Amino acid sequence: MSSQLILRLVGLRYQLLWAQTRTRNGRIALFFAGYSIAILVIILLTAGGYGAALVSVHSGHAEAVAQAVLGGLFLNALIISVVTGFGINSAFSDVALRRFALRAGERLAARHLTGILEPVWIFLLGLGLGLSTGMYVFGAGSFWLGAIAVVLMVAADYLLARVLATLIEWLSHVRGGTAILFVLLMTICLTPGLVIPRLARAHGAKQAVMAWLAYSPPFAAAALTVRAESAGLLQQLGILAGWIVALVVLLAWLERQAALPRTAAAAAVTWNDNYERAASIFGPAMAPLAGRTLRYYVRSNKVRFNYIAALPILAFLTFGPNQGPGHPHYFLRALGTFTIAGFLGTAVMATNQFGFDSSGFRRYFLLPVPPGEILRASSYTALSLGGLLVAAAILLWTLFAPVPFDPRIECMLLAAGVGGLYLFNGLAIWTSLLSPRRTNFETTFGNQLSLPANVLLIGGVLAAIFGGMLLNNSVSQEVVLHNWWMAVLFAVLAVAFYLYSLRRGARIFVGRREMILNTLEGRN
Amino acid sequence: MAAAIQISNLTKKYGETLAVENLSLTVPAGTLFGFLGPNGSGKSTTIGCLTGLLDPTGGEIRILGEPFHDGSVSLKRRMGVMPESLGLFDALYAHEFLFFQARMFGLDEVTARRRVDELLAAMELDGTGKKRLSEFSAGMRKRVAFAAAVIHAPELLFLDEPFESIDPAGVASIKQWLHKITAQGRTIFLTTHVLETVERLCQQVAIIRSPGKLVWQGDITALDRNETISHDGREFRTLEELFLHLTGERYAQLDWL
Repeated sequence: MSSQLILRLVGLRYQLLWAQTRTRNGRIALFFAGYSIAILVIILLTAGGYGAALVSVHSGHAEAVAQAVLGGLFLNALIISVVTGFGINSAFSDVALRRFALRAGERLAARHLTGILEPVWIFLLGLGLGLSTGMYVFGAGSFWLGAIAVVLMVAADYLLARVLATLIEWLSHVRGGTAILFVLLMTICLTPGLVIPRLARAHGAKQAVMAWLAYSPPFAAAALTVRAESAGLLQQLGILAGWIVALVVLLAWLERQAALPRTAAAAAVTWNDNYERAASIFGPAMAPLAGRTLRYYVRSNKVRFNYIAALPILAFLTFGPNQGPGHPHYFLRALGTFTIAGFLGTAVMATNQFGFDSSGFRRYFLLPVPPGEILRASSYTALSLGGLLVAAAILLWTLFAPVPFDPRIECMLLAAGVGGLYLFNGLAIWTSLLSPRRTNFETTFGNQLSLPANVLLIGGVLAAIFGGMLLNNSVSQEVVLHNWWMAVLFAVLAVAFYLYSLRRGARIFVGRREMILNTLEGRN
Repeated sequence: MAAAIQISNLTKKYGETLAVENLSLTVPAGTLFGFLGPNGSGKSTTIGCLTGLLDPTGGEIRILGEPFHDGSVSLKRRMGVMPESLGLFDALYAHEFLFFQARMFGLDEVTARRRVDELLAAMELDGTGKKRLSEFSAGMRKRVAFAAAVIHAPELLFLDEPFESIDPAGVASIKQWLHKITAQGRTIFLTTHVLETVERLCQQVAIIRSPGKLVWQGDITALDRNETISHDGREFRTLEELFLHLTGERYAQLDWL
C-alpha cells in the first residue's frame, strides 16, 4: 500500500486549505477560525466535554449524561455536514486520484482520510475526547477505552454523513429521485413533531426507544466511555465496528451507483419554450438573460435539493418539537421561519450569482447590453423563485396550519416572507460582487460559499429561527398581532434596501468585473 | 482602405504589472488580420480591451470608425467574439446557448432558431440535443464558441485561437467560412500560434512582444507567391522565421529528455 503517497495527499489537502488563506477572504476566515478554535477549546474543556463529565459524575448519572452529550454531538455534526455541506467537501475525487499510482482501495483510503480530517470531524473528536478524558479523571471510566469509543463514533458519524450525501446526490440524478427525496425529507422533518408528543404519553415507549438506541453509535460509545469493566465491552465494540463495516459497504455500493456514467446519448435538438415563457415576464430585453439564469437555477443539483428541502425544513422548524417552555404559538414561530422561506431554496446561487458561470462570466461583457442588466436579470430570477416559495408557504399555512384564520396573521406572515426575501437578496448582491467564489456547478454537496455568504446564510437562518423562538417565549400573541404594522414596515424597508443594492451594485459590478473574472477563472 | 480597428497608444496595467505598452495598430477593413506573439505577450489582454472585457489604462480605441469603450452597446452588436477561454455557459445545451446569443444580439425568434439549426448542422452538432456544454469535448466546445461568434453575422470578428482542438475537417470548414466572411468586406482579427495557418489565411500580420509592444506589422501575401519578406536587412522565407527572429524565441535544450 502506498501509504507515503496517501499521506502526501493528506498533506496536500492541508496545503490547499492553507493556500486559501492567501486571499483576503481566506485571511478573514483564518482569523475567525483561530478565534473560534480558542473559544471552542475553552468551552470544550469546561462545559462541552470535561464539564459535562464533571456534572455527570457528580449527579450519579454518568452514562445518561454521556449518552445525551455524545448523541447531541453525533446528530449535530451529521446535520451540519449534510445540510450546510461542511465536512463532506471532496478534496480529491476518484477520477482526480487516478492520475497517481494508486490502486482502487488506496484511492478510497486517500479520499476518506482527507475527508475525515476536515475541521468539523476534528471538532467532534475534540469534544468527545473532552468528555472521555473528564470521565477518566473523575474515575467514571477508562481513558483508552473512552478514547477508542469516541474515535469509532466519529468514524461512524463521518461515514453516515457520506452515505446520506451520496444517497441524496444519487437520488437527485435518477428519474423520480427528486420526488422520493421530497417525501423522505417531509417524513424526516414532520415525524418528530408528530411522534415525540405521543411517545411521551405512551406507557413503556421510552424504555423501548432507549433499548433500540443502545445499538446506535453514540450510545454504544457512551457505554464504553463510562464502563471500565470488561462486561459488555465486546458487545459495545462490536456495535460500533458493525456500524462502521455496514456503512463502508453501503457507501462503496452507493458510490458505485453514483459514479455510473450519466452522459446523455445523442439526441436531436428539441426546443423547450418553458424557460423562455417564464422569463418573458421580465420583458423582451431581459428575457434571454433571465431565461439563461433560470436554467442555471433549475439545473443545479444544489439549488434543486435546497428548493425541495425548503418547505419540509420550514414545517419542521414551525411545527416541530417545542424547544422552549410552555405551549408553542405556531404563529410566532412561523414569523421567524417565514422570514427565511424566500431564500432557503436559492441562497447557494443567489449569494454567489456569478460563481457558477466559470469562464461564461467573460461573455457578459461581450454582450450588447449594459452590465447592470445582467445583475438585474440574475437577481430578479432568484427573487422570483424565492417568491414562489413564500407564496407556497402562505398557501400551505392557510390550508393546513392548526391556527384559526386571522387576516392579521396572514398579513404579518406575508410581510415577514417578503421582507426576508428582499433583505436577503439585497445582501446577496453584495456578497456576489464583493466576495465571489469559483464554484462547481455539478456538485450537490460541500460548502462552496465564501465566508461572507456563509455568514449571511447561516446567520440569517439562525437569527430568524431564534427570533421566532424568542417571540414565542417572551411575548404574547396578542401583543404581536396588535403591532402587525411592524412586519409591513420591515417588508417596505427591505424592498427599499434591495432596490438601493441593485442600483449601487450595477455600478460596482462594472468596476469589479476584472477582479471577479480573475476569481472565477482561478487566477485569484 | 478604411480602418476596422484603430488603436493609438493602448496601455493596460494590472496593478504595477504592464501587460500592454503604448500599442498602436491599424487593421484595414475587409482583411483577415493575424495578431501574433509569444505566450504572455499581451494578445488576449489586447483583445480584452478591444472587446470591452477589460478597461484600458490608457490610449484610444476606434472600432468601425467609432470610439469604443466598454459601454458601446451599439458597437458590440456589430462585433462577434470567440474568446480563448470560450466563455460558454456550461449548464446549457448547445442550441439553448446559441439561441441565447442570437437573441442577445437582436435576432428575432424565428431567424434565431433557423440560424441555430443551420449552424448546429454545419458544425455537426445537431445530435447533441440533450447534452450540456459541460459534457462536450474540447473540439465541440470550440465549434459552439465559433458558432456563437458568427450567429449574428458581425461586421468585425475576433477569433482567439479558433483552430486549437478542432479536427482537420472542422478546421477546413472554418477556413472556408473565414474566406467567405472577408470576401463580403467584413474583417477578422485572428490570433493563433499556428503560423502556417496564418501564412495561408491572412493578408496582414502584426507581431507583438511582451509587454504588448508592436515589433512588426506588414503585408504577408508575398509569402503566398513564394517570395520573401525583408526586415532588418534580412530575407525571410516563412512567417515562422520572421516570428522567431522578431520575438527572440529559442528552443531550450533539455539534456535529460
